[in-house]
Amino acid sequence: MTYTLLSDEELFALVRDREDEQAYRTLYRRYDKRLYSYCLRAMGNPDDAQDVFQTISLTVFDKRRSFVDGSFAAWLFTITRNMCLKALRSRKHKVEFNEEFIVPEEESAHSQDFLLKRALHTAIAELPEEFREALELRYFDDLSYDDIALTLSITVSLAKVRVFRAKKLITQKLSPILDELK
Amino acid sequence: MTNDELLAGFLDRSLNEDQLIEFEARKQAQPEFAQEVNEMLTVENLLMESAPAASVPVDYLSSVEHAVAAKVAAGSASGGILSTLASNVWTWITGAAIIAAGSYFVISNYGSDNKSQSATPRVALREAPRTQPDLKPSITNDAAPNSLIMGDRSVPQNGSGNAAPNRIPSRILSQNAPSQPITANANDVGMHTVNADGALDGLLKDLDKCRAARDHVQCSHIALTIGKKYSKQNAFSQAEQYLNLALIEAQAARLVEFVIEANGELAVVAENNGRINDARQLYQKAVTLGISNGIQTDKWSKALEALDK
Repeated sequence: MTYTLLSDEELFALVRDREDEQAYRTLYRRYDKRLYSYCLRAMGNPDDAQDVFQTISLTVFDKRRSFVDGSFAAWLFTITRNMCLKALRSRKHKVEFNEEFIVPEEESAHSQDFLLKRALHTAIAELPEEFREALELRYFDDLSYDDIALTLSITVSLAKVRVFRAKKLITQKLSPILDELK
Repeated sequence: MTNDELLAGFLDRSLNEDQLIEFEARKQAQPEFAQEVNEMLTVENLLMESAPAASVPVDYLSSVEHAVAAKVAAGSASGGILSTLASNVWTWITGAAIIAAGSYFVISNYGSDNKSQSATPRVALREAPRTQPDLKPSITNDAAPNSLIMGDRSVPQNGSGNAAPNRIPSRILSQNAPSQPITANANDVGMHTVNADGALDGLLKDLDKCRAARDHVQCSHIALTIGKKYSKQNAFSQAEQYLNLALIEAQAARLVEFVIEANGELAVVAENNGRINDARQLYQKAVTLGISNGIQTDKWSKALEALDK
């Protein structure tokens, strides 16, 4: 069987129904880095991100019977989001995201591109929570609008509106810089 | 439709032909709208290439993969109370052994130099779990995701209590990886219908779908498959075109495995075209990337060696 050609749902059905290890590994490798990146963004530091990531990985397998149909990605990110929110609630002091965990860009720290990206990330961080979350799921986690809607328990049209408004707010913030760069 | 609705539709590529005409007309008629469109497009492009490049602890992810895969293979996670109990008992026994060892160390060194008394047992206690190969989380099967108790974290710890992924056996992705590159979100673009051995036409159509859906992972996979097919047919120009596309998409998706494979395949094409220097550089790039990311690249190392001979 060529596992890599199977859809997420087909692979997870093999994990759920036949406890197929290879199917699990294939699926895991499709999502591990994305999920870890999500956890790191949510938790703000690698230790907490690894704790939550480990719990999510085990939960997904333990809760496999609860996934019947629909989008596997949406189900997975719903679990991930809930776990991260729970971990954040239980943490007494929220740790701000530490930039040292970001891999340094190769570009010069003074290049236009670098400054623009920096401004972009600042603008994203300043977005209202619901807009930022939808935008990150779309652009950083590569989720479709359908999956974003399922993950956030909102309608698809609201997911689209949130992403659009987030982009519009960012554009407004970056507009002076973009003008300057012209 | 309002300007915002048109702009949103344009960015999502969901406008129909009439709406696109309307969109273009408004751009012509309203310079401020045209400027907004340009700025939004710039932000859109920035967003697509600006995912924070977090440092991924590959070894750690690998250790979790192995731990859960072992549960899958054994079906132990569905074993109910007994397996959870067994896991907990094992954790308790290990913990007790570590504490006993630490206590013994403290007692046996009692009376010696104060500095070593306080420092050494702490190190012994923290370093002992290094010998445990697996994670032993204790998560109950019946708990809902929101009510799960965080499992015992038996990840090897360093002296400061931080996870030390480097102490976990390093990950060699290609050892267990299937022969085809790994893909993601197959359902979005009907990847399950893609047959790697099928007609190029089907693959080309799927590639179009992927590109429309901006699914870099799928695009990279399909472009790689198409590139290899052309390469096998000695259609090197087309092969190069699609392998370069695969490389760009893999870089956008930050999939280092695909980047390595695309570079390797491009090297093969260059070699077959007699561009030996290019081939050497591309093989070298694949190998270097593999080494720095803990990915086995024997195939490309051997090709590089053969080239140098």
